[in-house]
Amino acid sequence: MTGRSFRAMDTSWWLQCDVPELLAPAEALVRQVEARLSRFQPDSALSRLNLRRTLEDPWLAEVVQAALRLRESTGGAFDPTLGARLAELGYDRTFAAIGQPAPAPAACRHLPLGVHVDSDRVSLDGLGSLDLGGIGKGWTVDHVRQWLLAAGAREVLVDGGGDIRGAGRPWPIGVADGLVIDAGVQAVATSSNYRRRWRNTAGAELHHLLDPRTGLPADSALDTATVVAADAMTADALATAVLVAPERVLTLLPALGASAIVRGRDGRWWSTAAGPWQPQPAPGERAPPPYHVRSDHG
Amino acid sequence: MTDQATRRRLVDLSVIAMSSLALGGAFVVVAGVDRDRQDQRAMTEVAAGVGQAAMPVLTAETRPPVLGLVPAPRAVRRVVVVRRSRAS
Repeated sequence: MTGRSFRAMDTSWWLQCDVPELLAPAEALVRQVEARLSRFQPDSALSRLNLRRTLEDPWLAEVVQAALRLRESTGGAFDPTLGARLAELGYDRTFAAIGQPAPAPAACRHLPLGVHVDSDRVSLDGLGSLDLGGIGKGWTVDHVRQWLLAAGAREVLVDGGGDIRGAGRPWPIGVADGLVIDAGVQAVATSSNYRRRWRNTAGAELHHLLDPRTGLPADSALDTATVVAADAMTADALATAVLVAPERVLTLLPALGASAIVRGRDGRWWSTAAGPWQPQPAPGERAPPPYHVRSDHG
Repeated sequence: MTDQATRRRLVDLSVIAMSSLALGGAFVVVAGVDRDRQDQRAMTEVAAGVGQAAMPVLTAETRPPVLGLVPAPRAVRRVVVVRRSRAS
């Protein structure tokens, strides 16, 4: 089975399926989604929405609608309306392009943002802007996986920077420290506050996971969260939410059909009481043959 | 077998028998000491529990960073995976 790797959305992607001629169009689809949903591309649908305050775009509307649902179900821990605040703090371009330290943040401004979705039209009112960074990658993974299956692939694996979902056969995915989940059954996503970090001119270290209550980088007891859920979009958003408000969100996971493995600041791994991970295949089962084994590097 | 060989054999057997008794006795003594220690520990735990609601004994080592979490399972052997979920 062939695979294809490339960079998009400021991270590494891997596509794999049993119909090799679908891989190039699938990559093109990822880039199309990025061109619609990235806040770093001035011509994207999202950027035009943030500028004009109303826009009609079916993909944008679908993702925004889902983001608002997840904001509600996480009690606000996941919040797609912090785009303006992220930009104020210095994360106003792709992470690779953050070269100059950001200006020291002023006292946190409250930038309220109302978001309304009516069919394919999204409208904003207020001062803030939308950012889909905590959900867009996961949505794209689901979208591309579905496209590949609809196009005739039977065995599919989509890995968007560590947000992973497959179909058609068992796909053993490494998580945490030596554990395995099957991405053929559920999706998995990992978030951390140690990868995307930068300093401002006052010397303070910032990261990209903001606490909606303060508008500042969340001060969490955890530094990494891996969430397993029914789809990659949900896993993506919940992984962010767990790091922002772990005490609240971890208790919500079972009702959302999700589970988590997390790492504390001291490096120890913990998990929700229930979860599909296992340290080895079940008795009597053989692990499926590896099609490709990679290191941890994105 | 000659008388001398028989006598030598009897001496060997008696040495073996005496050694076994000595070692076995030592084992019994050690086991007894261990049992006593365990009994003392059990009595201590029971005493601590009297009059209190049963609480898990948490130490700095075992306390999770967020209430409700449990230690993640430990890998017992390497498993081949096709990809790893990682932060990006």
